[in-house]
Amino acid sequence: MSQKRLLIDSRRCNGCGLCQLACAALRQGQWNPVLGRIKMIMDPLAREFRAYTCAQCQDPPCMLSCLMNVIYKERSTGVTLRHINGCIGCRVCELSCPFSAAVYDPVGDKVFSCDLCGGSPMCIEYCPQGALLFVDSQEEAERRREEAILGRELPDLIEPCPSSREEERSCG
Amino acid sequence: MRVVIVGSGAAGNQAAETLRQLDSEVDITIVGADQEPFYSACALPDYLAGWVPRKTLFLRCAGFYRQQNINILLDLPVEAILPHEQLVLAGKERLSYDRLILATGSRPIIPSIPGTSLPGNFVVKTVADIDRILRHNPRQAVVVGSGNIGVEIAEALQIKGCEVSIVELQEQIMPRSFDLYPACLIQSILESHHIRVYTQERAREVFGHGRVEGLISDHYTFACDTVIWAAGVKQNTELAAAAGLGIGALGGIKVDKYLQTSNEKIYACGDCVETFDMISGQPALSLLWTSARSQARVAAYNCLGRDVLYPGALNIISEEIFGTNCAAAGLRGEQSSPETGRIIEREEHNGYTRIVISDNALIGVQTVGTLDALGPIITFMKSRTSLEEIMRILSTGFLLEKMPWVAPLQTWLSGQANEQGRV
Repeated sequence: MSQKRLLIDSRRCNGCGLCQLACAALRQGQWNPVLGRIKMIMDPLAREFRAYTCAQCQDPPCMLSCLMNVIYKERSTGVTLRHINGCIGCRVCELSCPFSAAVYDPVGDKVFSCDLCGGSPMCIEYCPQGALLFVDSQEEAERRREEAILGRELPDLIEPCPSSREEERSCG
Repeated sequence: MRVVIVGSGAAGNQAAETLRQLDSEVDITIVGADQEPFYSACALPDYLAGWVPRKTLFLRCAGFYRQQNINILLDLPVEAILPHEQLVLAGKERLSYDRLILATGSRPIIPSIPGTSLPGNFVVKTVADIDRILRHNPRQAVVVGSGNIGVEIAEALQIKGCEVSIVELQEQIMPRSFDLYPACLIQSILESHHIRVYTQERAREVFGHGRVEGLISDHYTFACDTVIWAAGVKQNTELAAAAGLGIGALGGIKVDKYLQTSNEKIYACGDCVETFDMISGQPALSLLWTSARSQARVAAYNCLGRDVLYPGALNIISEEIFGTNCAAAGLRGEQSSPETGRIIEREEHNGYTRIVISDNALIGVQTVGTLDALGPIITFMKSRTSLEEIMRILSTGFLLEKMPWVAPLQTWLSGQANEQGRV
């Protein structure tokens, strides 16, 4: 069973937003970055942008909150998908998402979330930094554990919390 | 293992689907009085307004049940439950069960005042109700009750070109979800779209000759051809009560934290049960789609002997009222504790946000005009994260700029710290 997921290497990501624009253009057909299912968010303390997207929760809160029962987990891959034709744009899934990862399209009155482009995310091709990875999460975890044991350095996938940032906060 | 589910609404269907996901062998039968197949009750106002076509309301086709191997018996009211024989009697059917799930739902309340049987009185519960309203073609309507259904129906009727008045018993509209000030903001949106709102008014009488011609309330007489009763619902607990199951003080079927009723073979979920609030822990009736589904899932797990605790009901409401997004989650200001309760609000050009704090944690949020960053707030509410912890999480990471309530909260927290320092 393939459980490939989109991972964002936040150390490489410089927040250029190309993935967001590419997603909006290729998936929604509009050059409007607001419609990108992968989004940029400003980290105000680091003064940097980072990409984030649907976390593909194991037990997604959006799924149960949907008033039209259109959100479901695909059995083979575990990806959260939507029968988008049934969506009435009530935006309850947006409220229940802890990561604010759902995207509301006001023109079509529908809410979207990242569906990994059906198995080959197109945003990866547009990332100039190589910060987007499409990997099997279990294999990746295994590989990272091995590398860590061998003492090799790996790019962090989650944002580290360096002490310098704490200092910056106390000064400012 | 045979599981019988009474009720074919959101809870009944979710229970059946979860059972099938967990176990491909178990024999599942849904039996319900509904004539229509499973529909979304939340989209009914959208159907009335003409935004959603009728066929979109129906969420499952007949082929789905065949494919999932679920027996479904519609238009078959259950007459009795015999808990000792483990039998459900419905028409000519005698369904035996190993586990029973009650998802009998609720029905709209029509007060016992004169004239409510005249043609032109409607409720909003099923697709057939909306079909009847559409056939009636209302020109002047009074909506009694201003919960989220009442407000949505009023909006839909106004969009259809109908003259609409809302009559509400409490001193504000949407009293179950919003505090007074945000409710007034919503009321002004409604009034700017020519919906008249009358609060603190009780409907006294419906009058007319052969059809509805008007409604009399405490202080007013309304000329109207339609009265819509959206003044709350009553739990369908008759079957459960007749079977000797316990009924709670609020009128719902009494269940424990595993959603088991007083009979160990019978579970209950959906509108008909009385559970408890996730935040306050008090007994509560949660009459929302989301609650029904999460309860049904828990009941299905427990039916198959996998002990899953129900975390409690969290009311989340999202409304689009004439293009303005309004949302409410958790408890209201008046439900916060008198000593530690506090309300923090912020009004900006793009919207109004109010958060309710009690016992050093977020317990409620209400917004008008914005939906920014509500997801994280609701997650903090669910996890009962302390305010200091919330500020610590937010200050090290993302999202700080997207949350309109963070700055006032920070100011208040630092002020409180100073006060403590002085003491």
